[in-house]
Amino acid sequence: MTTRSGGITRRDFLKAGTGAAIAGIAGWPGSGGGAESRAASRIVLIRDPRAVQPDGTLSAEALGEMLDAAVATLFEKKNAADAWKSIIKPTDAVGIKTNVWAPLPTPSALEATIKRGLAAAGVAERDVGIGDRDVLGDSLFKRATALVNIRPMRTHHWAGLGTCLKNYIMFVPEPSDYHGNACEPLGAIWNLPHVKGKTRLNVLVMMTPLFHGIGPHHFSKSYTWPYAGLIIGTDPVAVDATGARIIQARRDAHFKKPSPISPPPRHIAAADIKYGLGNSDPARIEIVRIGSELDALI
Amino acid sequence: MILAGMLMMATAEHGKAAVLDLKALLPDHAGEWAASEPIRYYDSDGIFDYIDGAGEVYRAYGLKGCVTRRYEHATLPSVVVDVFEMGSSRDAYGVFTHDRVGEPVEVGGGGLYNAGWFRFWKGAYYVSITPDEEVERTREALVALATAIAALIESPGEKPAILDLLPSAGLDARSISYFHDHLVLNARYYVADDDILKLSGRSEAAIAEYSIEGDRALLLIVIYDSEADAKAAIDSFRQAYMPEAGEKGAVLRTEDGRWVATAQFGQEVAVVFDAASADIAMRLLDDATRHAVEQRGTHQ
Repeated sequence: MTTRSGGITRRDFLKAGTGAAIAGIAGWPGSGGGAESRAASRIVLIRDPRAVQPDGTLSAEALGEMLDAAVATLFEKKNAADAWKSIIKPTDAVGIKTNVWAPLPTPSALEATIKRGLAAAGVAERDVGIGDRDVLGDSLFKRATALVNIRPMRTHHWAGLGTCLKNYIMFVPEPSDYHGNACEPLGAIWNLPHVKGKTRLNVLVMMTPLFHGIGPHHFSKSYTWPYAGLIIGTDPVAVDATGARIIQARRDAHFKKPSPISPPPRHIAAADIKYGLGNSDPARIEIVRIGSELDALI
Repeated sequence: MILAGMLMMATAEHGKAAVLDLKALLPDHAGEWAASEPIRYYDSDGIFDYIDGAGEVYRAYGLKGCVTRRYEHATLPSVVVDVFEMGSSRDAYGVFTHDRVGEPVEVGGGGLYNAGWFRFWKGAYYVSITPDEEVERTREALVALATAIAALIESPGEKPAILDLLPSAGLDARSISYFHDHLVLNARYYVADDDILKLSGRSEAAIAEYSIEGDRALLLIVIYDSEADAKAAIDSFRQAYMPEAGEKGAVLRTEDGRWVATAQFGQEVAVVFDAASADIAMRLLDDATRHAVEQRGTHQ
């Protein structure tokens, strides 16, 4: 018998031709059909060195300006307020799914900027909630008609990367059910009834991303760097795939040799091919760049 | 019914005693360090509440429980000490081999220091010390703390016997990983989504790098419960990974120009990955087979 049985193996990724493929961030073996027929995704990558101070603290003013500019650009509006009005109704109840991981939480300045945008769109304060680990039991999230997804990019012990896609793992009662095969099934969460179709915006915070994790707590400041960026888009897969490429490039540069993200963040390509959530192939992602391009890595 | 009740009580009491033993490894004072918080305990189900996804790695090595405590120092940033009680000393060693990046330090059965993080294994325990921040004296102070904790662990434990099956010629001993689970293997060297080697979370497995003629190859050895299980595993791997190699399925060139080779000897299966040539792959395989036979002769 010369035909291989069973599922995907290393050799399938080797056929795709690159280490990035094995890393699961540039294609999926045997992909076809839906991916090719899907329209390309547009995302915004904005960077401003002022956002990260020399001592590592973040400038709230710079962060707010960056997010406002990125949102306006993404939705092709004159300003952020108009952009938020184009994606949020005054009658929406909006859950901001943030991330409270202590070593690298979502900057509060960005949460505040989102809240300001929602207010500009006419949403009452009582109809806005911010949550992470408690979202399943939170009364606002239970009645939410719209979601805004925001979290910092980092490596993750089991998923390879902590991404916008992974940020929704708290929408299920048993997150460990989705740990199998390096968290490949995460995309399935996005198709659950209480989540599906509600996400208006994804924000992947790339201010001081973690590009390598060590130890049970997975964090060392030595393995972060001041990229000072935000990646935003309506397609979480495109946002995450772009962030993953930046992390991979940083790892290769830091370790001075190809250093695949480990384990490979398979959930990104799986969200594209298996769950139809968006585009992971760089050829199908349009990146609109704003601000500094110094050491952009991609 | 009375006997069942007594057994349950005895088991519960044993469990309580085990937790107390674990907590005894985090004293109130250790050299220049003083505990600043009470001890927290997590069992193998609750570990996700503490370290999220990383908990899966420890569970793959039979985690029994974890205790954690914060310590303060007069002049240095405070640290978090985590003590994991694993299924066995082999499993404590296995967790240690999951990440071997760092400077070796002689503590317990072996220690490593990297970017402020210090960890060691001794007996059935894996100990991790993580500072809030790495400063100039961090390494020295963490080694002292680790040494104090290691002294509280009576049994040194032992490394897994499978390591004796790794031939020594060309072996990079610092590259050895020991595991039971294909997901742990994939984290080290991605092979396949499915458990095509039928590790099943129970088999003993080790993978290591070898230097051969200026190049590097990987040797994986797995011990199964029986020859029949080993045969089923090698057949499964060959069908899933290298069917083009034919019935015997010994050696094959993969898409990146490197070579993979397999062999079974009794209850063991050996796989060479990433060899520079078919000859190198087969020589490493032959070394492994010969060495395994010699080891069996030594132990009989």
